[in-house]
Amino acid sequence: MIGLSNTLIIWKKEMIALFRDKKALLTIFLPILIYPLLIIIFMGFVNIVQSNLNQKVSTVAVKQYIADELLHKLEEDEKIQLIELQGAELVKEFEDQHDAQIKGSIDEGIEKYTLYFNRTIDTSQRAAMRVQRHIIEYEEEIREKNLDKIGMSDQINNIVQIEHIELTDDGESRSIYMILGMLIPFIIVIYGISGTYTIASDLSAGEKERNTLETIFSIPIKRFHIIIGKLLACVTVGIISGMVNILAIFPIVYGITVNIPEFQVSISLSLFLFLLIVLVVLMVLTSTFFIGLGLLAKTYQESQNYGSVLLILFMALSYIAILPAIEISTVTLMIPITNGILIMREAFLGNYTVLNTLYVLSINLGLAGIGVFIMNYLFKSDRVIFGGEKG
Amino acid sequence: MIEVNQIKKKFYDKKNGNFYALKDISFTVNKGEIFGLLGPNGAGKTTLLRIMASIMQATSGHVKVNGYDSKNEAEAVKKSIAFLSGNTKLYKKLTPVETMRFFGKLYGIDKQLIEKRIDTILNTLDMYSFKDRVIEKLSTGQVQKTSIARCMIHDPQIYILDEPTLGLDILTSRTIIDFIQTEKTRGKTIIFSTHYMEEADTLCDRIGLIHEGDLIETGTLEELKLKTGKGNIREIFLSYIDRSEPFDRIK
Repeated sequence: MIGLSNTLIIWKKEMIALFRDKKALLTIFLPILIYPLLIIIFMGFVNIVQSNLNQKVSTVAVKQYIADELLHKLEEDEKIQLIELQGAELVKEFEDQHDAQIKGSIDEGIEKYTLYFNRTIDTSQRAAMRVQRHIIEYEEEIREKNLDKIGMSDQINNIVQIEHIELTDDGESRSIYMILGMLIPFIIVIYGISGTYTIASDLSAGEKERNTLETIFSIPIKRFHIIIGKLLACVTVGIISGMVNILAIFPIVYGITVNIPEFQVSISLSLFLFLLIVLVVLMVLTSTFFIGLGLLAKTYQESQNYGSVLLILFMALSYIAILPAIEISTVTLMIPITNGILIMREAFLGNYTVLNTLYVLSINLGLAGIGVFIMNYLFKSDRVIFGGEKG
Repeated sequence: MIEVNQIKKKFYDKKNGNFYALKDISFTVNKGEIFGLLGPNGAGKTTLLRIMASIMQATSGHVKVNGYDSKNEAEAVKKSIAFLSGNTKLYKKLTPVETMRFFGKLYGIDKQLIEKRIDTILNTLDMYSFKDRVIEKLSTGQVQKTSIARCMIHDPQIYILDEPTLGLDILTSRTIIDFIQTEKTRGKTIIFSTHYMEEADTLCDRIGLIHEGDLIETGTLEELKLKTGKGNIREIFLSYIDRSEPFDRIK
């Protein structure tokens, strides 16, 4: 009990220190401001560009034979302005004069249309798409007429029928759930790991650098309790970072729920608790290794450098979980961090597999246990803690 | 009160490989005594004091502090002592009151007693004006007073002070020296290291001369004067160590 009490005293002190550190707070809470702002700016920009492109009339140069019906369709389209090139040659560099060119001819009774456009220019591509849409529509109408003439329309159009049957009650929602189920755990874990990385250096090498370790070592408290207090602080910061980032992307999720009526988000308490438990375990795992590595460093900066290698490794493990076609399997269940994100994703889909969950928690906790052992060993080592001092 | 018995401490360094920072050191410090460990930089003072304070483990030998073994009964030893050095810095984001409260809780002192002691210490060290200001915003003197306050919160029997005045200005050093003298009048045992000869001369009941990991002599100032025939502590020290030792290392 005394050990736990001392650990909590250390944890509380670390949290007070953290919440009084403006730089640390800014690092953790900045995403709340930045994300929505970035999204608003980005969406606004995209909307303006799209709207401008939609409103703009495409000028299309027409050369030689174009069937009357097709020409009529093109002329009726308010967004297309036709320019007839009587006798003039089609030019390759036409961007200044018009957006696209269409050349028609009849070859052995088949109407042939060639469309010239520049894929790298939005207006040109849009003009080509508008023309192409009309050509396809025109072709469909001609085909229908011809088939009707010989009375084969039904036989041709009804050769194969495909019927889609969604096994879940709400297929549309499920696919969005899958995207969110992948996105949310990934963001929680990625930003949680970043949070632990930031604070771990301060709790380990930072304290060495500030010469406060000797002070705490001089009082009657076991080093194990000190390091566990630090670990708790690191894990807390990781969880806060992860959660803060979820809050930051909440406007996007809200936007989806408002704009897609079929999608009803109901994050239940059990799902929240499940995510929290898995997140805690993953944060314990990453924190132990970040702190352990930080103890080997002499300065905060050195610790950040060492930690960045570990950070890349943890990030890579997180990215595996969002790779296409990565599902829960015997292999993926054995990969730490990846397996955590995968079972979080499954939980979003309502699949809570007790055995998988226990397996994933055991693997990550087992590694965290090794991390705690290493961290504690290093923290107890005079050579590691007082390394260069021989007064 | 303190028994240091055949202490050795081995370190490893990339340049020299294994080497002994302390070589078979033995001495005792009596209750209510001020014992000064005198030696140049790198003599082994800090290592020895860290071992006495159970912050570091000796390679061999043992230390008894207030009847407790520093290795096997580290917690009991730490409850009996207060350790202060140039390296025992404070948490910059806490205020002096929060610092005392934090350490008081870790010493397992009752909440009410902590508050009572905080009040007494604030009064004794005249800290009321800055008690609620975070340490990073305090002057060097105020920080030093907070360090002393941190040491006093559990009312220890023994103070182990490692070069407590190192790098401090005259006024701040005075705070430390006054504190040592006051605590002696309260019957506390104090062991401190220094390489300021005058400090040792003024404060110590007995002196231990340490050089290159060896305790070369212990005794009162008068005893050392008689043994060496020298008039002051600086000359006494130099008479014991290799004369080729650069003089500027001994201030």
